[in-house]
This record gives sequence, C-alpha cells and structure tokens, in this order.
Amino acid sequence: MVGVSNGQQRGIAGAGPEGADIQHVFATFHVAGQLFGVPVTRVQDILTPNVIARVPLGPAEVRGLINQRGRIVTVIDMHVRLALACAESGRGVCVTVDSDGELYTLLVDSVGDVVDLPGSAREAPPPTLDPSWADLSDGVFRMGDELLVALDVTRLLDIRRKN
Amino acid sequence: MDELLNEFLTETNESLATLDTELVRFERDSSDTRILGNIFRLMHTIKGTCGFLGLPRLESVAHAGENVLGKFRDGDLPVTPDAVTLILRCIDHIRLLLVELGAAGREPEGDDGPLIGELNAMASGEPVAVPPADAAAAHAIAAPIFEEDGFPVAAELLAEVAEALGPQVAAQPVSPQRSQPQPAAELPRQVAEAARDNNAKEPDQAASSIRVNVDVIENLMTLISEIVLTRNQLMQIQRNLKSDAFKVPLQRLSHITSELQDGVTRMRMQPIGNAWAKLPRIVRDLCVESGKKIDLVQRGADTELDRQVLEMIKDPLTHMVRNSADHGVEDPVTRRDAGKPETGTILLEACHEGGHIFIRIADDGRGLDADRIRQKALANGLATEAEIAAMSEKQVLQFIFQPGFSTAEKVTSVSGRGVGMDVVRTNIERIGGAIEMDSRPGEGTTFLIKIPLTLAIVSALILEAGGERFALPQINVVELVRAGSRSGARIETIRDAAVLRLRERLLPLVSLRTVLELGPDEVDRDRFVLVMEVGAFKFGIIVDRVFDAEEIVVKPVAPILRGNPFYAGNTILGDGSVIMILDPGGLSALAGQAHSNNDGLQVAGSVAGRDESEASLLLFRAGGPELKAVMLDAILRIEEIDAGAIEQVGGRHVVQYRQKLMPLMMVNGDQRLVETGRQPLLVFCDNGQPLGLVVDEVVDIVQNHISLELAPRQDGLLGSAIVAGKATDLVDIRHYIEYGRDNWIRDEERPRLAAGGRHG
Amino acid sequence: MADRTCLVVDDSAPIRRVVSGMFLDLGYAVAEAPTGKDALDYCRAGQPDIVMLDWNMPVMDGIGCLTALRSMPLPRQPVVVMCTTESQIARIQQALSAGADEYIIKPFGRDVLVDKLEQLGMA
Repeated sequence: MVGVSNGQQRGIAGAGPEGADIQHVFATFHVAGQLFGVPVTRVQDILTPNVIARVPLGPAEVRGLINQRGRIVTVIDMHVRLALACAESGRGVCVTVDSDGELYTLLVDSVGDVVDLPGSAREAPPPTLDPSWADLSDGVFRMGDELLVALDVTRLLDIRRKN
Repeated sequence: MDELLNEFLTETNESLATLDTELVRFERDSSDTRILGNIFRLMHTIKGTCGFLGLPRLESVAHAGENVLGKFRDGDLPVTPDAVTLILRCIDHIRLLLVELGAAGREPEGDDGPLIGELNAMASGEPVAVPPADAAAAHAIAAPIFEEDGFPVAAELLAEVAEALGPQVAAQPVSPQRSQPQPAAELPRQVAEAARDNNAKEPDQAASSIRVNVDVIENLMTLISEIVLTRNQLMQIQRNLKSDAFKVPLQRLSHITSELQDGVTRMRMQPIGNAWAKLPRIVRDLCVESGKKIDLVQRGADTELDRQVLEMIKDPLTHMVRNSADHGVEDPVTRRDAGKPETGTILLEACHEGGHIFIRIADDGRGLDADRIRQKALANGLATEAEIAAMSEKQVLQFIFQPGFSTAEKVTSVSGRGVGMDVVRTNIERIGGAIEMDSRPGEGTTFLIKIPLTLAIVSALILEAGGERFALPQINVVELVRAGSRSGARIETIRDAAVLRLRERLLPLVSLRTVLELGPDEVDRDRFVLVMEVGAFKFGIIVDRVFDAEEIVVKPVAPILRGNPFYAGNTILGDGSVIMILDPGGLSALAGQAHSNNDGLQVAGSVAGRDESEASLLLFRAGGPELKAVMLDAILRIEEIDAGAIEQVGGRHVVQYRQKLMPLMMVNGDQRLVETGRQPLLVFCDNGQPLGLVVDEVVDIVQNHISLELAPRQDGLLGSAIVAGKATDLVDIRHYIEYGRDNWIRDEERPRLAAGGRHG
Repeated sequence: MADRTCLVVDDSAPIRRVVSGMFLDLGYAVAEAPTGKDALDYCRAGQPDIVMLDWNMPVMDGIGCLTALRSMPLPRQPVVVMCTTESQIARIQQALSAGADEYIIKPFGRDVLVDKLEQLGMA
C-alpha cells in the first residue's frame, strides 16, 4: 500500500492554497466510460466477484452480497449509484473499501492504475459534470486528456441519506 | 486505562450492586446479622482497596459509610429508613465518583464534606434530615454488569476451552502479573487455581470462577463460528466426494466442534439474576417515594442465559418491573379498601423449557384500565371509534404495545424514564422472542416473555423461493407441509389472501415470492408450506423448495441493509455461498396484517390473544347487497363450480362433488343461482357429508371481534360482528347443516346419495 | 528459582495484585487466594513461607482462617501477617493470640512491608 497517512488524506477536502502541493493517491476505475478515483488508503481488496447473492427488497444500489475470504461484503452497483447507464453484460470488478469496520465493495467496469496526483492537478468541476455527483465528489482532477472524479467513500456509501 | 484501576472499578461496581440489594433486604429484616455482616464487609473492602490504590476521596466516603454500618452492627444505631436511605446515597455517591474515575483515570477534584458530615452525624446519633436517594443516578449507573470489561466465568469451562484451543489462548484469561512474572511464581498460582476448582460446591462465586475480558470470549465465539463454517464446508466437500477417506476424522472434527461450540456458548451464559440485581433497589426507592408497600419476589434467578440476550432484555425487564410498581400495584389504602393485603407483590420468575427461557413478571395490582386505553388509543389516532368498538377487551389491551403509547397519568421520578412497551416488544422480538400479556381488572397484570437460549449459532432450514435461497431459523418452524398441485394439502386463495386448511383449521399464509417480490406464485407446481409459530400466532410461509437443515452463524446485516423487517441477518453456508436469514417475527407480523388489516382493523401484535369472542370470519354477499359473515373455522372449502354442473333433484339443487352428491342451499329466499359461468360455494362438512352454501361473492377474510346473541333475530343467524364499523350478520352454519339434513337427507333417503356416489 | 513463596489472602483483587506486586519485586514467588477457605486449601498443598492474611473476608474471615491454619498438622507452619485496618489494640491482641506472627495496618507501602519482613527475618 502506498504510504499516505490519514492526516494527509484529510487534506483533500480542504485543499486550500497551502494544500496545493499535497499528493493525492487514488485507486482508479471506470464506470460507463467515466474515470473515478477513491483514496487508495480506503481500498482493502480488488477482486473479480464469483457469485453475488441477491438481497430481495434491498436498496437498488445494492447488487447483493459476496463471500470475500469468509467475510460477507455488500456489493454496491456503481452504475446505479452514480445513475449511469446500466452495467454491460461483463461481470465487472469489485473494489472493496472499508467503512467503519464494515466492508463494502464497489462493482465497477474495470480497474485502472493507482495514480499519484499533485494538488495542482485539481480543477473546478466542469459544468458538464452530472450535478448528482457533486454531492459524492471530492474534486475533479486532470489526468492527461481525461478527467478523474474523486469520490468520497463515506458519502458514496450513505445510501439512506440519498434516499 | 490502568489494568489495576480497571479491575478495581469492575469489582467495586459489583460490590455496590450487591450492597444495594443487601441493604434493601436488610431494611426488611434488620435482625439478620449475617446480611449486615456482609454489608459491612463489602463497604470495608471498598474502603480498604481505595486506601491501597491511593484514592483518598473514595476512601473517606466509604469510611464514613462504614462507620454508620459499624454502628448498626454494634447495635448503637437503630436501622431506620432514613439511615438506610443515607447509606444508599453514600453508595450512589461512590458510584458517581467511580464513573468520573473511570472516565478520567484519576479521582476527580471535589468536596464530599456535606455527605460525610451527614454520615458522621448519623453515626454519632444526631438527627439528620435525609433527602431521598438519587434514584435516577442509581439507575443510570447501577450494577453495570455489562458495561464492564469482564465477567466471571466458571474456571472449569475456561480450562475446557483453553485446552481445546491451545496455549496462546489459554494464557490470556489468567490475569497477568503487574511485575515480570517469574516461572516459579506461576506454579503456586496454578496450584491455587486448581485448589479452587476442587471447591465446586462452595457457594462463593469467586472461588470457582475467574474474570475474563468480554472481548476474549467474543473473539473465541467468532473463531468458533469460523470453525463451524469451515467444518460445514468440509462436510459439503465430503458429500460430493466418492471416497470415504475423510469421513472418520471429519466426524471427529464435527464432534469436537460441537463440543467447543457448546462450551463457549455455556461460557457466555450468565444468571438472569444479574439483570435483576438493581430491581430491589428500584422498587424500594419507589415505595419510599410513593408510600406503597411492595414485595419483590424473585424465582429462578440462577437461570442462565446468553450474555447478549441478557443485555437485550435487561432494560425491558427493568421497565416492566418499574411499571408494575409504579402503575400496577395500588397504594396501601386502595388495596385495603379493595380487600387485598396492603403489601402488593411483584413476582419475577425465570425458567428453562425446551430451548427457551420463560420470564414472567406478574403483579397483583389493579390491572390495566381498558377504558383509559381505549380513550388513549382514540386520542392518539391509533384506531377509529368504530374499530375500537369492534375490539375485544384483550385486543384493546394490546394497544400498550403500540409505538408511543403510555398509560401513565403522571410521570414519577422512577417511572416514565424513556422506553415504552413498544420498545420492550421490539427488543424482545429482535432476539427472536415473544411477549404475551394478560391483565384482569383488580387482580393484576402478567407479562410472559419467551426468548431463545442463544443467538449466535442457530439451526436453520435452507429453502428456496423464486430461485433465491434463504435460511429460516428452525426454532419457530413447527411443521413442514407439502402443498401439491394435485396431491397433498391445498393452498386456497380467498381474494388476495392465501390460506391452508390444516387439521380443520385455516392457516393464514404468506408467500415468500410475493413478500420479497421474487415474481408471481407458481400455482401449478408443488410447493411447500412451513408452518410457523411466533408467540401464540400460527401462520404458514409458502416456499418453492426446502433443503437440509444447517447450523448457521447469524451475522448482522450491513448497516446499509438494516431496517428491513424480513431479515434477521445473513450467513455463509457450507458451500461458501452467502444467504439472507429470514426473520420469523417480521413475516408473522405481515401474515397477521394480511389477514386482519384489509379493512383497516388493527390487531395489535401478532400474539394478540384470540379469546372466545374473537374469530376469523369469511365475509361474503348472498341474496342481498349487505355483507354477511361466517366463522372461517366452519368452512371446509371455498369452491367455484360450473353453473352447468348443477343438477335439480326433487326440486332441490345438487352437484357432483368429490365422488359424492352435494346438496346446495340458499342463504335466503331472495337468492338466485347464476345461470352461466362459475357459481361460488362455501363447502361445509356434516359427518363426512359435504353441503354447499350458495353465495354471490366471497369478499374477504378478517380477524374480528364478534358478539353472540342469545336470542337471534332470525333463524340461521348466530349473532353479529362489527366489520369496518358496520354490523354484519353472522350466519349460523349449524342451521343450514341441520336444515340440509332434515330436508334433504331424510326426504331423499340415503340410498339415493349412495347411488350418486357410485356414479361419481 | 525464588527462595520463598508468599500467599496473599484478600477478597479484593486489586489489593491482592498490589501486595503480590510488592512481594514479586522482593523476589518472592506469589500465590493468591480470595477467601480464608481457599487459603487453607492452598496451605495444605502449597507450603507457603509467609501468609499475608486479610481480616474481613467472605466465607471464612481472617481469624477463622488463622485459627484453622494453626491447628493443621503441617510439616512447617507458615509465618502469618495479619492485615487489618483496625488499629485498636484489642484487635491486634486478638490476632496475635490466635497465632499471628505480625500485623500490618492497611494500606501499607513497600517500605513498611520491608520493615515488617526484616523484623520477621524474611526480607
């Protein structure tokens, strides 16, 4: 795991002038063609799901449950969560994150590299950014010719609040 | 926190809880020098320990308390309620200091002069004006048997588990030495421990138990859960293997796992008396405040139950006893006027029966006031006037379990602190338990709580509905019925409500497919009905398939999935798959609703008593627009027959039905048979002979209050029922059966029927 | 290997721990007992050199334990130090006549304990 302390991580939210040179380390992934990132310190595991057990009557965002090495992990369908087009027929990849000791895994289309971005790469959200993401986003970063939307894991998992 | 300090806090809090109880006992019987000796010793030990640990504030408060107790012991001071109250205040004060000590890690600054002054004045025999003990403070922090880190566990059990788990775990429970332990030092310690084990008969708890951190036990439990899962996986693999090579060691592993599981489960057990410890004090304070006289009788305090369960029911029990003392038992004058003994009794009783713990809380007070509950329910908008009018007394009383309902007229300092009976019921149902209540005016109120022995590992049936598998705790399953499309029992649908006739009773059903929105029911295929019993309520769950029973480890669902009443948790099965565990309580509530709520009628709670004046009714129309009702129990089947199949024999209508000729009867003279299409019938049975009652339309099934009339207005009527605020005629089936017998069988003679049978 | 074994008898676990700590520091091996009865059981099998005996205990108090201990046919009777908060002469007298070798007033620190042990020739 890349050595980023929690203290630095918090710097992301309040990236003021003095936070400009803070390095942000993201685990990146694609959902419906869009590049997203979550702080790499929150990522526990990346795996290809085998069988996903459905949870009837569960929130739409919850695709189901998987057995990750003896632990039950809730699978969040990122297509639904981010109100993007429905998942492709492929199985996708799971990015498992920790939230208050509870494990959730984000079902995404594909996983990219771990990237190290300077605070200076942070940009104002473009007007084309889906407004519903504004609440979930911690900022937008330029990465070559792509825009990376940084996601706040805690808010991402706060499905009840959204509903 | 310093481990020594921790140990001190735990021990002293326990001592204080005992002091509370013993003082209340002593106040009743101040001649019992043995109790007083114990009280004195406990206070003395607190003082002594504080001295050693350098806690001067606590030491001086305890010292002043001990002084007064010493005067009691030496007979220099009479044991008055005021003096006891002062000692209780001293205990409360020590408690508050302990809380601060626990939070800050050291004694807080402050002045205990006034209290010590009062205690000293009391000891020297000066008159003291004593304000009442701070009951709220005592209750907030009294006997924190669960807040603490450790609790006593029988040493032999620990040894058993430690042996099974190996040395690294075995070392943990033994309290570590503060200084570097030397090998030689450990030896006599172990001998001492062993010597204690030989004293199993010794009544003193400390001698045969040692203190273990709760986390250690929880951790053990988790590890064992994992072993259970792994064993299940291995057994699954073994089943699919051709070879028997693993069979024997696997059986042994299975056996050991079960023993280990049993051992740790027992280790988590605590006597229910731990949850009762502060009740005598609460009742005592309430008596002092209100001038009531109450005996709190405890039976079966040594009944053991799971620590987790104990934690869940501690507050509900306290609440119910407090309620009984505050609102149930009357003041001495009222009691005397009612011809009862001045001293009321609250009985707390626990016992063990077939995998369940039963707890009874009974008082001999005034009973619940049904009229007031009616008014309150109306005022709070819990039901309409008509609905309430239609309810039996017993149903009305169930309103106390509804959210936000409280009958307290005034809030005293002891009662009215927070939770209502709805919370009590929710807490109890959350752990798979049920609560029932019986109350008689002037005689008292009894609550009966039924809870499962342990929670962590349960035996569950694995079943399937709509292609998904689920686990259902077996504890509530009483029977499995195969409901075939051709053979076996038949599931009947009346309007939207499915029912199953089981041994002459109609069982309300819920379909798992429907409840969990897993697609429409497949009526044509064989299905299964799991007959469930939750509280006193029986219902059935329709599923597609039922697999094996499996021991499963109940894991709570992720916070994101909480709030769904149909799930009790989730688990990993032997084959590694994740499945949801169904909550019988949630499904029962739904089954109760589906069959009683269609007209907005509230039956409060799935365990609502079904007394003789309450029944399941089938509503129908026949020969007129008004609703008619018939007792559901009396109906064998609801049929729709083709109008063309109805024959006329001797001026009467008959139909071929199940190899017999079935006479048809009209409810009244205005009624006409349909000319084409399907004719609905209610089929009854008279000594094996089916009889059909012609109806125009089947409307609904409701659970309802009925009133029987002694002199019916009309032949064929049993009485009336208020359904959705309207009086509804209750049809007397016996009348039609007898009518049918008299006018049909006698007239037409039995050979005709027999002939009909041959034709069929 | 420690030369001497001390048995600490007190119904308060924190007190046992504090006193045990002092003896461990002094190079003793230490055993603990929460009641007088446990102390007797231990003495039967464990042969302690010195017993620090609390007065007020459940099941069997210090005096009861001491009286019983002194009547036991042991190969070697341990030294018994009565630990008490009672400073009255009468109490101390009662302990000594029941067979205590020394008394010590609770709470005590390491210095006082060493003093007492020196008097007993056991430091």
